[in-house]
Amino acid sequence: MAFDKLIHQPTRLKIMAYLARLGTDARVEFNKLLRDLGLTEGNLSRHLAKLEEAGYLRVEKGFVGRRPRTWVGLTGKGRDAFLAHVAELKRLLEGKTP
Amino acid sequence: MSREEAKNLLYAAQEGAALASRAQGPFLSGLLAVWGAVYALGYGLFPDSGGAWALLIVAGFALSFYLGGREARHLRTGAGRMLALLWSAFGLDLFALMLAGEGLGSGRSLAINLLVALAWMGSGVVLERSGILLAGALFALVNALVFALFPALYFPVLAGAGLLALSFGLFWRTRGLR
Repeated sequence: MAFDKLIHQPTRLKIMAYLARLGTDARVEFNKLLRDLGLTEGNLSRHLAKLEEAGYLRVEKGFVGRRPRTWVGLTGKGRDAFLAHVAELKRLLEGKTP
Repeated sequence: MSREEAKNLLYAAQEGAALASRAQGPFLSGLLAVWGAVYALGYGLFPDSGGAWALLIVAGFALSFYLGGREARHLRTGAGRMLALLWSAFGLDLFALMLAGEGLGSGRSLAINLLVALAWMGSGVVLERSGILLAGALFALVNALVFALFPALYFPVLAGAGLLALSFGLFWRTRGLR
């Protein structure tokens, strides 16, 4: 299996790892993700848009009280892609060929 | 790709996962502080007062669900929903036990604390956090040992454990431990 070029970028890999740890049924509010990952708003938005476009994330708009919120969650496709990518990285480190 | 690059990428993935684990820290540390305070006050000051215990438990659950609600404004997980269900059921059982008689006799207290330990262990399994699982097991062990070997010290030890939990919860909350 080849490396996933989209997840290969370190920040996107970190975002995927964060969401994968929480599971595919989890949803994280955009500002929390921003704070926890220490990214800028523009940077995070750009990475999320690319991952959403690939079907790896779902981004939903909603309200908490009267405040608009954006929720981000990992899809099953995203989880599978992340796990496969990490497996490839480990395989490379261990010096095994697929 | 070089092995060095793969190593750095794996490190980035581990860092992302660690940040997600820490994301629930403020909620869990808040819970620990709240229930530490309930135990310290209940066993330290009002061990035999049914009314005081009922008030403390209601306050403890109200604060816990407030913290859970606040957490859900930023992070919603299946594990969180399972925890809410687990602790709601436990809270109802506990309150029914409290209504059934005056105060917490040490035998009934032991039974309740073993159930509390079980609920913490269940929470550790749901959240996949071995620290919480071990803390629940340790709490059960300390309860059983002190009750069996030093019954006169049972309430003071629980009050001390409450103070310890309160201190650790506040430390965790301010220092942001994993």
